[in-house]
Amino acid sequence: MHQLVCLAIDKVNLGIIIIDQDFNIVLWNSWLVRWTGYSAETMIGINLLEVYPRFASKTYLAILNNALFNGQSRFCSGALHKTFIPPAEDVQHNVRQNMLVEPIYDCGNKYVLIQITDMTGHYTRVKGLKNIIKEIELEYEQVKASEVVSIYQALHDSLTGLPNRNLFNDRVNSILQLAKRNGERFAVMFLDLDGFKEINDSFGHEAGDLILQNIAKRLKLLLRNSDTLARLGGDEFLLLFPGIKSRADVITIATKIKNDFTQAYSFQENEVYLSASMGISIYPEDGDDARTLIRNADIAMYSVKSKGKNGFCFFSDLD
Amino acid sequence: MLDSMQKDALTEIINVYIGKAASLLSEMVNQRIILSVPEIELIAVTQEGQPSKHLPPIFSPGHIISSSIGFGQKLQGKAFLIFPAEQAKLLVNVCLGEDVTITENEGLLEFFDTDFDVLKEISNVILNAIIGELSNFMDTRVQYSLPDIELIAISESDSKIILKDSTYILLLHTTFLLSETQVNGFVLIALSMNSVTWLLEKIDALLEA
Repeated sequence: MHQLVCLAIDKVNLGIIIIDQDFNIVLWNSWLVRWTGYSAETMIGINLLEVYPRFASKTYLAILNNALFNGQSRFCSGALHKTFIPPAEDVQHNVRQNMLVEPIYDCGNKYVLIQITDMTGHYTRVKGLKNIIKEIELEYEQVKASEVVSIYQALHDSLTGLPNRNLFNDRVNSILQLAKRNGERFAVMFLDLDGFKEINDSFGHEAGDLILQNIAKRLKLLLRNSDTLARLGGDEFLLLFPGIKSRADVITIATKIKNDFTQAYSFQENEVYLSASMGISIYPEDGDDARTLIRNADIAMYSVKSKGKNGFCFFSDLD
Repeated sequence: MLDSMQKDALTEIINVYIGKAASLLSEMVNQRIILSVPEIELIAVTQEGQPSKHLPPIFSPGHIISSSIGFGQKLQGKAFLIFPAEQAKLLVNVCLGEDVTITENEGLLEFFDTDFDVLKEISNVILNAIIGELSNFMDTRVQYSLPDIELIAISESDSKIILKDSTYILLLHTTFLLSETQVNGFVLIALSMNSVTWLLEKIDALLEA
């Protein structure tokens, strides 16, 4: 039986040391022989504190003494203590071991059983896993951030920062639902600049872009917060005026816009004068969906263009 | 259960014990740790497994980490160190010098085996110190088991499980102060009726002396 137990102790996958109350080693199993390169014959009878001075330090001596004289068991984690019994050759870095210290009392003699488990692989995996989790979290943050940017880009004009056609359609559809439910009216305006092509031809596209940004800024100042100004591209803009009581309200704003164009647009020490042709459709008379309302405002705008530009016209006034 | 004199005496004794545990822990993790037990309660558990008074919020539903050590011979019982899961994680992170901001992902904290090992050791140090000093105070020797650590999801009815086999619970409200982080937990010492009677006799003797 005794031999069977000895064989079993040599087979287990952990280091087993037993020391007596003078800290002399009485058992040194095969796992430790493989791990340290020291044979059992060499180690048995040797003082543990001499061969591994870490155990002579205050903390570990207290643990051994507590086991011997107070019967206390103690678990020490590799996370906090790293290594107790270093490997034979310094080939492995970051060796982590868990240690269990337990008292054994036998025939009036006191012993300490020390079990050493190699946790190095485990810690490496946990460390890898922690890094992966961190990376995934970081990527997720980046994806979220770029999503916000993409959504903004998908719905806005990059030159002026104004809503684009998609966002404008979306706003019209929302206002349409509200207006239907509450029996309200709203207006859609199609605005096209007069003579913008000539500016691009004379001063170049860069100048044209600056002027478009300027126009966007000035138009916005004329509008209420609830209104929407969008750029379709080129020199075309769309405007949405919710909560319109009568044509007079639209005439007021259209006149304000027309008058604003009488002031010059300055850029790079130059000044230019522009005007705009505006076509207006009103819900529900001129259409009951975004597409029709925009198309009819566009038709009304073309009528202004054909009749000398610089002005506005209601779709309902067309012959 | 405890009169105010007994309570004061026990609180003072326990704070000395826990102070020793704190210095052991400080050395271990290489930073100053202050442990205090501002309040102690002795709770009796009735035969139906119900505590005689309301238990603190630690037993409210949620995840807790419980580490326990059994001890025996003349002084008999089981000692627990219990933390709400997020407080346990905070403690581990501070001890390992890692990020102390805890983010809870869809209600689940990331616990690794290595985190449990750290908690197991912390509880081992604290509970050994308390039981050890308590047995010194009682002038007796005890045998200790190694700590068992568990992550427990507590529901309303589960609080009974912990209390099942015990007659008396000594509840120590425990605060850990690590540099600038405060971690709150509980030490719970379940004692047999004989052990409690004996403890109270010892305290009374101390008070009379």
